[in-house]
Amino acid sequence: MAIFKQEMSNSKQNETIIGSSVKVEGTFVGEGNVIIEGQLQGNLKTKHNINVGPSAKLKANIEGQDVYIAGTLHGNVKALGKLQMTSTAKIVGNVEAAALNVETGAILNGKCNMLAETTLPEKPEKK
Amino acid sequence: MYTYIVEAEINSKKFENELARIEARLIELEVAGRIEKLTILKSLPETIKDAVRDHAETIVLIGTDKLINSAISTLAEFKATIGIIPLGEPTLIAESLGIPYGLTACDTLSARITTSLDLGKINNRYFLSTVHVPDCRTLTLDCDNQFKVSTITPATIDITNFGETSNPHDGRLEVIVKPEVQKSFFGFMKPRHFDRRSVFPFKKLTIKSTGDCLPIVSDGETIIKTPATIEVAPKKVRIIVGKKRSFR
Repeated sequence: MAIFKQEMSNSKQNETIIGSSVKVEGTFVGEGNVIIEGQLQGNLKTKHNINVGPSAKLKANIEGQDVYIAGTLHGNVKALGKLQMTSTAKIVGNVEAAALNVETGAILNGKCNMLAETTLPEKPEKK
Repeated sequence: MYTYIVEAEINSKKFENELARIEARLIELEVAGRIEKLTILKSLPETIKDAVRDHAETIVLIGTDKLINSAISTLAEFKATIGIIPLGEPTLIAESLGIPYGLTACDTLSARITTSLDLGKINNRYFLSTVHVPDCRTLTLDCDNQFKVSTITPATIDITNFGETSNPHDGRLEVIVKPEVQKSFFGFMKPRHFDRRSVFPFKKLTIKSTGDCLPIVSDGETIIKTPATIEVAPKKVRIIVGKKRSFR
């Protein structure tokens, strides 16, 4: 229980929150989870998860482990784990993910590549 | 060797008995040392420098947050371990460090759990806990020369070293943007927007204002005007902390 508590507090301490009252411009490299509910222009990269809320407006390329999108994003998305798009999500750009989950109503205008397939080594041809 | 510095406001009749009990307890715990009582004529930086010159290894501050805030810039220049016995009000810094109020702090001091803490530095002046910007309508924050944060609604800004979201061991400070919730007569009927705070960890931050210079309050008392540069000084001071501290 104590270990769980400590893990929770550590994750909270590394969390970045872009609230709906701020606008961020530039290259943002996060150390922990990133939650976006405001505006972001530029690039965002983290080794952890990204959560784009329904009120968020992004003109950015984003990369993270698991990416959850409920807002509007103009740019490319790379999810090293799972990419989840809710019914309110709108992406204009290309997406790459190891696993993809798209709810009815979500809009995706762009190419979609599954990372697991593209990163697999090519099989040698049988002669 | 210990040196105890007593805040001028604490050096009064109101705290006379409590101070006497603390002195007796320090002797019992075998951590007694020289006691310096500050007065209007006795400056804090000079008292600290004298203590270091006399080879004090631990400098204990007896008093409120005000004393800690005033002493931290001078203490950061030396390697002496810092101890705190909170007395008077407010004592929020000691609370965050897990140090109990008054007499019981002597036991924390004697237990001597020490840890190295980061300090914040604003325009070459150190701070331990928080920098507050009360009004930031026209402010831009340039974080680590990588990204800029601007507010789109009225907000206040806190830059913290330790607290709920920040850890004073991680070599970073956190900027917390707290939007002001606009209240109106029919406000309760409208959905609340702009009330979620924003949190950004950073190593170096420049605060610029596009309009007039705005005040920045460092550790509750020092007022600095914009523009200002804030950066982290990793593991700058060694402090005696309690078991119930707000960070690990």
